[in-house]
Amino acid sequence: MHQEQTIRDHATFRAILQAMSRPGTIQQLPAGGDGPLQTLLSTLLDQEVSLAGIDPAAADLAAEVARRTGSRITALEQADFLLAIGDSAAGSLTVLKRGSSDYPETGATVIFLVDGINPEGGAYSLSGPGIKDEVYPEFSGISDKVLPLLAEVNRDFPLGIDAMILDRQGQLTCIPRSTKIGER
Amino acid sequence: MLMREWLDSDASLHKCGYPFGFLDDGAKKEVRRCLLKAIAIPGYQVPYGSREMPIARGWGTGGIQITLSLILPDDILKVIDQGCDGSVNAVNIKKFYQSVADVDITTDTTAATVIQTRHRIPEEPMTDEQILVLQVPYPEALREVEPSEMETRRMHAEADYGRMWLYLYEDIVACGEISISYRYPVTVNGRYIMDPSPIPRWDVPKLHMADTIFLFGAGREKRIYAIPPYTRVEPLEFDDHRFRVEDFDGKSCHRCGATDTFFDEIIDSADGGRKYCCSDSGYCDKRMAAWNR
Repeated sequence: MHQEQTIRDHATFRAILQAMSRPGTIQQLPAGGDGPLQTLLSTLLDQEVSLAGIDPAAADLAAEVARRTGSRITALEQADFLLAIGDSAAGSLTVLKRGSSDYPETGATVIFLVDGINPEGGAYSLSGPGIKDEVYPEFSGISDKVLPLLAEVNRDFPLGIDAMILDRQGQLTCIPRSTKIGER
Repeated sequence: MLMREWLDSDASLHKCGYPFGFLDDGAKKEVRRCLLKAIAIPGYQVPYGSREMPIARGWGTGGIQITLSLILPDDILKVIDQGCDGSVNAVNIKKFYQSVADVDITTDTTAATVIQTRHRIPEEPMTDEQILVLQVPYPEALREVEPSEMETRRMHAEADYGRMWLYLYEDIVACGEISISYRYPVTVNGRYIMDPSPIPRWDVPKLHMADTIFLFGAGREKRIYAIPPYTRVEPLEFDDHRFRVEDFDGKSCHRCGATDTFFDEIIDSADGGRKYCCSDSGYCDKRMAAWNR
């Protein structure tokens, strides 16, 4: 692999690590490469993991990502990583892998592709590990049902799914399963 | 080295014949995926396929694999071994990082962006810009009370920690207080009991609601775990037998005169006299330099 790509992957992972460690904060992925989604996934995906698109629009994108990263396309219920675009994804969150109590890390990671992320103005509060008090990020281009459903799916910690929310400018916010999602 | 310089220099393209960061891409990606899950489930040990490294397992390979999966050419790295920047293990690890990632090295905690450590957390407070990578020999806090991996996994799954509490109780019956001096078990985020690696009790409170990310790597035991910032980390204790840190009352560092750091005890082989010095050599040197200015 080209050295420049390798180093970009390292820089990308540092942004992802910060985003996952500090839920609700916005981290900027490095520019360049083939766009934010490819930049994000080329640091994490390979033939060891499986991928699925939650909605029909994301299925095409998932196939493209799988072709580039070597990951396998599987059914929603078995996928390690999932892509979601737009409004239709929310309902499917309940069928995804949440891991087992012996191996909770086998829960899925869902990447929501949204139009934009604001640090303030969201309808829900986030608190828990990685958050000093509370944060209220706002996501545009995502169904209102996603955050309450995430709260529902993740209520049985340590089982659950971890969310990455990526916008078109390469801004990334994460909501791991440890985050408490409350009404404001 | 600046990232741009690294990219522009032909010589670095195949440094030592290895890719940037030594590990192959598949290894880095697995470590990264495990790190993210470890962050999402604070205190839970994620199994991973620990790779062969150019040093033997048990000499920091878990921490090294984590550092190599996230290091950048413009990082400033500090490596400490039991508080000391100059021990053989720390020096060798630093040389390795310089040859495979060309990072700058420092002994100053405040100047570092990534710190890899064996058995100490630096005395100076770390910031939200920094990452601390801890080398872990025995990741399983429950191993003292249960030898079976399947059984400890079940105990963690069910938060069935009664035997750990009993172990502490028996310790109090035998010794009058909890006598664990290092690897003091903690509860992370109110859920998992975790081994904080063999840091002294002195360092345990630094994990609680910190600004910094703590990443733990056990190469021989093939486990990765983590404590995100602003996470509750509570040492196990009873209402009538509280956790306490080491008592260095009345002692001071014979080099820099500090009275508020964790000390190593040095016994003079000639006359048997005892003296103390800061375990954190970088901090001690910094205080010495300030005196001599």
